[in-house]
Amino acid sequence: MGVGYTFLEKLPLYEDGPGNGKWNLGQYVVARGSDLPLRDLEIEVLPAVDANERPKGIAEVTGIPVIAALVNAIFDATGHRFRALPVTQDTIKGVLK
Amino acid sequence: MTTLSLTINGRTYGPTDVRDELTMNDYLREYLGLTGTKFGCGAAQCLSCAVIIDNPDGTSYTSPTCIVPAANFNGKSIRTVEGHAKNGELSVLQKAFIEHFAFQCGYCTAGFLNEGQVLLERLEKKRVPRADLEKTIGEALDGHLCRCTGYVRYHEAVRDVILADPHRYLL
Repeated sequence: MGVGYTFLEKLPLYEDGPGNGKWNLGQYVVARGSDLPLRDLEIEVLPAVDANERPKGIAEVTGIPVIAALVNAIFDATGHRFRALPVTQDTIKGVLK
Repeated sequence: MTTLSLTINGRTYGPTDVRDELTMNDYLREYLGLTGTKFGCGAAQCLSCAVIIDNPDGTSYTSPTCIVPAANFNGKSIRTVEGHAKNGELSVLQKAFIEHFAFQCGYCTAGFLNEGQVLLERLEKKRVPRADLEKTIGEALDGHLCRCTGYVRYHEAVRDVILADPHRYLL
């Protein structure tokens, strides 16, 4: 989800956006398994702050640091801070010129 | 109208007359009440609707059901998510999905389960080197869309099932 939000999901507002009810996976691009480093992933789970309140949950909330990490990695590589998503090949090429 | 007879999870259904344009997904969900097979994008792009088709020669493959007419399944033998557990006990892969927290909302799970099961059965017939395992799993499950858990846990669940019994699946 974080990968999709960072690189793939462009959801324009108003008439031509997903709200027109005609969008499907051709317009709303979801990351596939092959878009992810499934075999090289290192997940570090930090210790719980409170043993009685262990962190839990997946999906949206845990996507947030993924997005920040990816955009930060792009900053490391390009020197440019992207402040709008998605970051695409075209927008990266745009700042490299 | 087409007369439809098929086997689902080992049980014979039909003969029954169905409209030519009736999709397999509607047949499973609306006619038979087998709602474990999901309806997702309706365009064969997400594969949440995929079922297993068993060939007479013992091989199997998955097929989406949302854009395929029920009539195309005439004479076929298929398996759906409802057919994996035996005598009330979940299959090895189903248990692995749960242990790995592979799914959250569960919408894609039936498709991943069917694809993973086909992979396991394929590897039993034709084992692969350990070095090719990650690629083999990745390619097998690719195309099934999941937006909750990001594929990693499905991948790990399938890998764990295989590595728990390496002589069965690996060269």
